[in-house]
Amino acid sequence: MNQPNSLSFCRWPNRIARWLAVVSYVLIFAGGLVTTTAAGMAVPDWPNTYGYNMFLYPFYDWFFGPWDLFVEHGHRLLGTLAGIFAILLVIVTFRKFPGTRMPAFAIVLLALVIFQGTLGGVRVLRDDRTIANLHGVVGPAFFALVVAFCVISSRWYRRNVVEGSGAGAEQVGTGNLTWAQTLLGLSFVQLVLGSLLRHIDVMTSPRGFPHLVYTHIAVAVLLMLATWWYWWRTRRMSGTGLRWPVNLLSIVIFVQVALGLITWVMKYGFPWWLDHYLVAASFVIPDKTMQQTLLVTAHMAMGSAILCFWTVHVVRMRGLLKGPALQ
Amino acid sequence: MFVESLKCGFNVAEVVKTFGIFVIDSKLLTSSATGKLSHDKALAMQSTKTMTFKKKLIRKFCAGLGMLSLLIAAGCRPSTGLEFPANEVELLKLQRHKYGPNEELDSKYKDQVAGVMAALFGTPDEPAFPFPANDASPFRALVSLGNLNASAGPVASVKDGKENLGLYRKHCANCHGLAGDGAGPVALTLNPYPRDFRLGKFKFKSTPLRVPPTDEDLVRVIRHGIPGTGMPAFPNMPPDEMEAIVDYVKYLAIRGEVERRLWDEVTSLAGEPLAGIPGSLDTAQTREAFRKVLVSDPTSPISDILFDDVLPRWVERDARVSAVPTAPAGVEPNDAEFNSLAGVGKELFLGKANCIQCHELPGHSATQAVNYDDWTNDWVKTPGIDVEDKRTFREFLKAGALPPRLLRPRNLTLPVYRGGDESRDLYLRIKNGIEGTPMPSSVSLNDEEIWALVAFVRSMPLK
Amino acid sequence: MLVLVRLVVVVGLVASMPLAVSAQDSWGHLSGRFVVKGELPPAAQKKIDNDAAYCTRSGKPILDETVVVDENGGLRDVFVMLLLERDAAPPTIHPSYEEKKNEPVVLDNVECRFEPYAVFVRAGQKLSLKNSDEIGHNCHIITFGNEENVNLVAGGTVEVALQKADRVPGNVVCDIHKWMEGVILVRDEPYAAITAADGTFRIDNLPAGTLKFQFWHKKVGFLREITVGNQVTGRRGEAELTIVDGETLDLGTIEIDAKALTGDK
Repeated sequence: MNQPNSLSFCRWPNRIARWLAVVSYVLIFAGGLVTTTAAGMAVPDWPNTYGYNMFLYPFYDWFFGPWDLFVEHGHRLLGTLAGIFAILLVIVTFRKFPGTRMPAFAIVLLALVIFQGTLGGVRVLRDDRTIANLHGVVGPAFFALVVAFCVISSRWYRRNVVEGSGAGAEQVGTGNLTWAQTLLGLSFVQLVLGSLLRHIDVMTSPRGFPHLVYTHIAVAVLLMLATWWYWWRTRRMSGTGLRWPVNLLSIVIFVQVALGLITWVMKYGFPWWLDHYLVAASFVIPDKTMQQTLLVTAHMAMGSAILCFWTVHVVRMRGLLKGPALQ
Repeated sequence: MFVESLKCGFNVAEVVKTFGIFVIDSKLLTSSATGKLSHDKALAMQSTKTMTFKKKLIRKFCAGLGMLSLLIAAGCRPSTGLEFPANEVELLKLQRHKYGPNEELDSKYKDQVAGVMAALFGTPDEPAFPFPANDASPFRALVSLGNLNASAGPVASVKDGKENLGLYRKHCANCHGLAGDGAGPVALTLNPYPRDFRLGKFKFKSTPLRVPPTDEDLVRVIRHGIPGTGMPAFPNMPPDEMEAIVDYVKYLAIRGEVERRLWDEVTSLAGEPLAGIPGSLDTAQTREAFRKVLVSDPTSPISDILFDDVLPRWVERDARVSAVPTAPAGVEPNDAEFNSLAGVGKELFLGKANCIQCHELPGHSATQAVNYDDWTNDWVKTPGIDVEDKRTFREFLKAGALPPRLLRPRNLTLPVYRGGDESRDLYLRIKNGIEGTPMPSSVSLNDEEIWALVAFVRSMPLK
Repeated sequence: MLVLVRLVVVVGLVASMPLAVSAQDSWGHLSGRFVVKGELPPAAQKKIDNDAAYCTRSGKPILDETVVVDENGGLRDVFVMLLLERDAAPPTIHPSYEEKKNEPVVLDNVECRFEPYAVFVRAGQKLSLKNSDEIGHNCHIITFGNEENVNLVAGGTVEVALQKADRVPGNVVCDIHKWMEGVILVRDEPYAAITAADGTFRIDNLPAGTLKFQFWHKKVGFLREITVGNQVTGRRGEAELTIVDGETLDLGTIEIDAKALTGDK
């Protein structure tokens, strides 16, 4: 393998990847807003906006226009921004990491951005819930991959994985990788379930929805307990750069479950068996208000954050245990 | 309209062109009228791209994505073709009620009723209303077609997002269902269930039983929501959208009532009540023509059902709003006489007025009666059904009925009143009862007695 | 134009009504008796889950009254109803019914059951909802075209009027006492009857001529394929009967197979 030495390490691919990750996350949040406020169909055409080229749509009409239009058009503009970063990433990676598989990874990311954009477009043009679902799932998946790219192109990875040649692997402990990967996978499954809950078609029979809800709750409880258990299991993993995502996850998972409960209440009210309490009995669902929108969207965005932390943890650990990836 | 000009075929081609995704499915391209890419050109594109990408993996991956995009796009169809589902529960109930356990109605009647319904009320995407031919008719002012159009159809916006369409599907349908059957996708997770509009019954209104709610009643519920239920408040909804949704709710209720009446007619008569009605049911055009025939033929059962039964009740509702007399001193908690009036109310609550039969009062142990609401009782009262034995009503659940759930009488020790918390709201609830529930109207109580009860109800949470 | 036609038809109909009444001077009567052939299972006992102390104080169990048969097999609560098809003109009504319409029909609550179980009332006629019990009830009437839900205080009476004619009988329930059930038929014309405890019924002063009747029982709905006089009822429990001036058409004993009434699948 053609391994460049430390001096030739270039931080630009990592910087751009980080920017791409930030943009993607904002994009996910914006996309969440679109769904929460049912603004997805606020612009009927695509890739144009009301007949205008997307970039030429009058700023005033967009920025000071109706909320739905603001969110949907803003989501599109952000999407193009992500695309630009992805292109930059491909160029820089080709130049700075020649001879590795990193350029290929960057191209995969670019292809995914394009695919995701297309999905978004087709979702609008066909007004199809299945595609909305796919669009809502591909987003976080893409984000997780960008995070993986960030990790692999990072200085930490170079020092500890590429050059450190497995130093610190002994601290990782056996079995942890399998668990971490399982939990990463389960987090993604949970995200898919959440997406299914969010994008329901009006013609769906009411029979299926409760099952989906119960599964989502069961997986949530399972994930929370498993994350805490994993945190306990890996308590001696300090000093390897693997520990902080787990620490963070053990807190975030709790916040996420709480946000999930809040989301339910904000959308469907308290369960009936609580209605001997004044708080529950007097609660009125505030539809399409700022508080509902932000809380519900926060739950969705937090799901992607969890995916992100697991990815950092898993990619780093894999590197330490199995050697550098994509070299 | 702008939205309608955006048909699918055009857009698929646009998608493909914009991103240069590999085009393999030639069928799709020939089928899309404006698709500019030819099969050969697509293949050529594919081969040049193949040259550019050295890595096999990437090529396969991208091709996979392209294929997937195409698969998604290939199923492309315009969003018409959606029809209102028939009220299967009602039909099943009438069959069991009239023909006993084993007989099913001939399917030709189902087609007849579906045809008449589609002609009278259109589809979820293209609503129609059986306005009478006479321009001066009061029925004309019941709903506006413009409002129905704004509420119907898929969610969309026009005029740079300033005008929203598909309001019903955006705000209501996930719970109340496409046809207003109260069986939307999330219905089962809510308790009480979302309202089924098709019975034409509404709980919180200023009119007595059997008289539909006024527009203001409906606006009030939508604007402020119903506490402790799945019904949200829509504080930010613009007035014109609110008006459009209210019209659509009326439309769905009227539509539901007419459908039920038609079923009653068809299942009761030995003759063929709908057989003589001329008209074809094929396209939107003939549906319109058919509708004109139906509403203008005074001998048809449709005319009877519409203009002598269902619509008059909706027209007369404003005139039949219950008058609320001025409340005597003592009804409001700040009044000096509040405690004494509440004391009178308590006597009534425990005795003559029957309230304690259902509503709990701490310190007074009595068996509280619980029952089902009318939306459930409507079908569980069918002979042969034992509401506690699921096996006796499986076919109803299969037809779309929601599993029976007991209605809990309101807990009056909390200051939460679903129909509004002013004294006049409480007066109306006691005076008129609550439609669709066991809560009866209190015709045997005079106004003083009702106000005393209102005072007592208001005093309960203060204890 | 079509409105005009409509108007003319309506006005014409209204104008012709009194004429028709005076023109009709031949009237006949209809009678018969419904009998169940075969063994019926004993009536189920109702579950009393509220106010049991009061409702069962006489010691008698409260039985399901959907199917009630006397010792001779006479079937109670069969509805015999004039069937008006879509194109049929409303029948002329005998003057004797005018006075009868002013008398209220009484539906009483006695020991936590409705008395009588089945009632027939004309549209607009007074229906007196009575509560002879010392506990409160509500009387919740839901038919296809009518609804009332009144709070009945102990010993109280409330008068209501149901305005809309129904095709078939609807339900009467008390929500406070879930087992309480009854049936009610609302019709514009007076030509309907409910069989008495011995299974007999009689409709007086029908306009002579050929009329269609429907036979209905709560348990199974329309009584189809039963022999009525010299014919078999059709798919909506209907039969065409000829009423002769001054005569009573006695349908004799109309037999219903017990199996048809058990109604189980």
